[in-house]
Amino acid sequence: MSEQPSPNDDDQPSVRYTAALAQTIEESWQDRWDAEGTFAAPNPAGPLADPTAVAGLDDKLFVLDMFPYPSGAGLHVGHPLGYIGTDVYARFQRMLGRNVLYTMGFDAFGLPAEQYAVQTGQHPAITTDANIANMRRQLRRLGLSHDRRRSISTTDPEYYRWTQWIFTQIFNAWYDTAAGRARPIDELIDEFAVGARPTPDGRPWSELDEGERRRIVDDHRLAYVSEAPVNWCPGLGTVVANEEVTADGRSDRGNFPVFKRNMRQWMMRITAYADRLIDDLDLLDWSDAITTMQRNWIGRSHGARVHFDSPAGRITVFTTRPDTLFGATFLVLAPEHPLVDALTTSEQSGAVAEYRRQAAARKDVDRQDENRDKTGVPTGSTATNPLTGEAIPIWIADYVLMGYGTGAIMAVPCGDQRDFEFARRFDLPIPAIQQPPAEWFAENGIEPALDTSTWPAAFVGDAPYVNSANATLDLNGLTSVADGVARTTAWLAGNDLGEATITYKLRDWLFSRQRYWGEPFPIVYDETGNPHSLPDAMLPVTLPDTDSFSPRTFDPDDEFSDPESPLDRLGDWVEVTLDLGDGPRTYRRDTNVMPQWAGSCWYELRYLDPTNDAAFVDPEVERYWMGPRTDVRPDHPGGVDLYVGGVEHAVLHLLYARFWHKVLYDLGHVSSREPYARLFNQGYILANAFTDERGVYVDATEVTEVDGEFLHEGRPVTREWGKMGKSLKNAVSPDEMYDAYGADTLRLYEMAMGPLDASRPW
Amino acid sequence: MYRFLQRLWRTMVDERSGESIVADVPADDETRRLLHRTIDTVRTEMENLRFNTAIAKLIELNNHVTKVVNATGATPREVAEAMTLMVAPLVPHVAEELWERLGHTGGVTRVPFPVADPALLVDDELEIPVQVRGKVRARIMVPADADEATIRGIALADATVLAALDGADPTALTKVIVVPGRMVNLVP
Repeated sequence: MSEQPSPNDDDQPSVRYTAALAQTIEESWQDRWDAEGTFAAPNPAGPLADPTAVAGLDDKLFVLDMFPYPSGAGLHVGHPLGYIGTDVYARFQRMLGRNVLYTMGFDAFGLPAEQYAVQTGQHPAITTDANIANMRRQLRRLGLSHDRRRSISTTDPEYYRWTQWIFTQIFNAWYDTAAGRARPIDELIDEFAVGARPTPDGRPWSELDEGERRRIVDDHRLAYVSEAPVNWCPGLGTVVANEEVTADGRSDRGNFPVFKRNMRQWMMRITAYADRLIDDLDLLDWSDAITTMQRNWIGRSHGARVHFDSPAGRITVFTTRPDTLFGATFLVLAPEHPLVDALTTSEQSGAVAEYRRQAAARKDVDRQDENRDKTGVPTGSTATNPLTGEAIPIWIADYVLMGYGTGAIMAVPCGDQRDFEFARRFDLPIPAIQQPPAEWFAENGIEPALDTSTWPAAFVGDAPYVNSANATLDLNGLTSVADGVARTTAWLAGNDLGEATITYKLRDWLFSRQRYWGEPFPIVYDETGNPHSLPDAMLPVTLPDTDSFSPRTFDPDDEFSDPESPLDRLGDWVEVTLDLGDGPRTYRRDTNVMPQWAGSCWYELRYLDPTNDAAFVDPEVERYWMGPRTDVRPDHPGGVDLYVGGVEHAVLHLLYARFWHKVLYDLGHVSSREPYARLFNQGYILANAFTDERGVYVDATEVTEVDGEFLHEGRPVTREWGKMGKSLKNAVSPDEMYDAYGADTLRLYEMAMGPLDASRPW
Repeated sequence: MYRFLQRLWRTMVDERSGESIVADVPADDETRRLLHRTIDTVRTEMENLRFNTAIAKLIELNNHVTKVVNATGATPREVAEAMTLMVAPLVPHVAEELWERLGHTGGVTRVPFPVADPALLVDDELEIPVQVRGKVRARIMVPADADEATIRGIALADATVLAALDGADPTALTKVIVVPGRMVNLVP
């Protein structure tokens, strides 16, 4: 913003467009828009219904921004880039005659308000409300054409009442894999009761006691309590989701160590939706970058389980490349594999015992280090390669881990570098099962030959199969891996020697946090510890007042500490007498709160019908704003017409929200299959940031430039370039811009800086 | 950007008196054509979230209108109104203010966005190359809808073309190929 206005110029004509005139104009029009309700979008039904107005407008359009966390620092000029873009678009579409739904809410549960409360003793609701009021003022001053009747905060009890209600819907649902959708849990119970569905152990339903029935039903729920390995973060005093753990095993917030521990926690069965979450990406108008990130996160891989007969019974391995089975010349088991004792011959027992002892002392990361010399010992037994019928030796080696796959692998040394090195080291056969191309031999400086003794390394790549046939299966000459996999898998299945399987990287979603500032669970436990969801009439379960907001935190390295949430301490609130249909009884409330992602899983739906107190959204209203647009294309899934936000939410918010939406769709509560039909990722505003000699960011506004050097409080600092925001202490407030130039200039400047999806310097 | 808004303001408001300088006069042909080409582009760019290029086109138009004001002392109403409506999504406050100063009430929010007249998007004249023995020797302006004979006449009357023919008789050429709207090829 290099153009400087000169408001004090004496010659200035009296009616020049100056910052002062701009402010007068802007504030007067903002007042008028408010007074006239200019941007109120009519609904076809429900509390905001105005069917005549709806009929008078053309098509509808739902434009949505990713709603902000109301931070104490307020907005900086980086925030509005997307907001101004959506506002320009919304205003343009109104001038084309459309009924445009456009508003802004606040994603207001979260850690900063809680941490501030811990420091000051002030209730997080007070800080949150003040921050929201400040951000509303800033957004209004920017001239954003929001329908303010529709604004919500996820912390409003009237809002989280419905977050809790949706939780009870998910709790009271199960995934019918045959039907490919979620169904109410009562229908599952009915199927068990009439015998349409066998119980897990085959006994009739009528012969099971209440506790057994309860366990079977609870095991099917889409929200369930599980004693499961979770990420326990003693430094934060809470457990965190897989998605919140960094690649080096620390919490993304606070950077504390995270430990795998078994604990009783709420889980969401998002894995039941893995296929649909991948397949339906094809229905969305999203960037390839984001859909690829979601696909990789879900991590679906097709493979096969292959059974090898051995003296100790069948050994099952998982492989993504069953087509290479003709080249499998040995098996490798993890030293901890349960069959090792039975497989070890007396001659080998000493060596095996010694090797297992050494392996037990090694960490998993060391065992998987690719650069280590390969070690291992034979068990002395052999297994039968199901394709060739040959007896192949069974080894144990510490690079195979029990926790990965089945704890056993088939080794195909000609096509896998690790297996190749292992075979070379221990003089095991390496038959070629692919014809590498001439270039590969040339690159390695060897004569083209299938004699692998000349090969310096395994050949990894696509090439025609050779030596890959038995009496009833022939892959020779095929060039497509997909064909090879399909034929081999079919052969294995037909001969009862294996079966096709699909594996996923996605795990169920850890859904409880030992925090204060979040949505309480609408769950109570009876005296036997069974969870019960509260009926609609008992919602919301409001967050109880307290003056002690922090979970107990521990030494960050104290792996064996146990979580203690702030709600645990509120005995009067935890113990409750309720009548849940069989007379007043004493129950114990759940003392966890939901993770910060819960409120953003469905907020766009509440924008549609924000004041409806009979339903989270009127079905007709949802159909109008978000129903499938089959006029646009036959497979349109419905959802928000344009969703604008940053790429950082690719696998958290955007995956969780799709999951909840699909559950709501399955249960018949919404007509749209997806929440966000079109996603647009705006760029970021970048600005200079400065670090001192410790590498700590200093306030960019306090940095001065002297003779080409940057100084902060007299000491040199280093300049770098980064996304504008709190953490880099380089934020510029829009308020400064309103005062110096006016909101229109700020809007125009941000829009003119470059394409909306590109990051740009301030 | 601040300067652009000041210029936009000055094309409609006399900075000293505050009086409107918008006049009920028709725009000259060039200005009108530029206006409609701008409308056409801005609509497309807005629809596709390319606001930066829409703004660039609006600045271009405004620069032209500034010249018109400097020359004539007034902005034609048809231009002033369309410009105000086109900037309204981007700078809604100043647009509302100008819209009112143009004599309207009720705000710009639901006023239909300007629509380009397709007839004004077509150029009257085209520039096409003239080749002599396969080499481009000249460029000539021809009416956009000119037929073969007309183009041939214009080409063979052009001084540069005649010079390139190097004395050859323009009425007795070996070969004359005319592709209307595209090019002329002459072989003496």
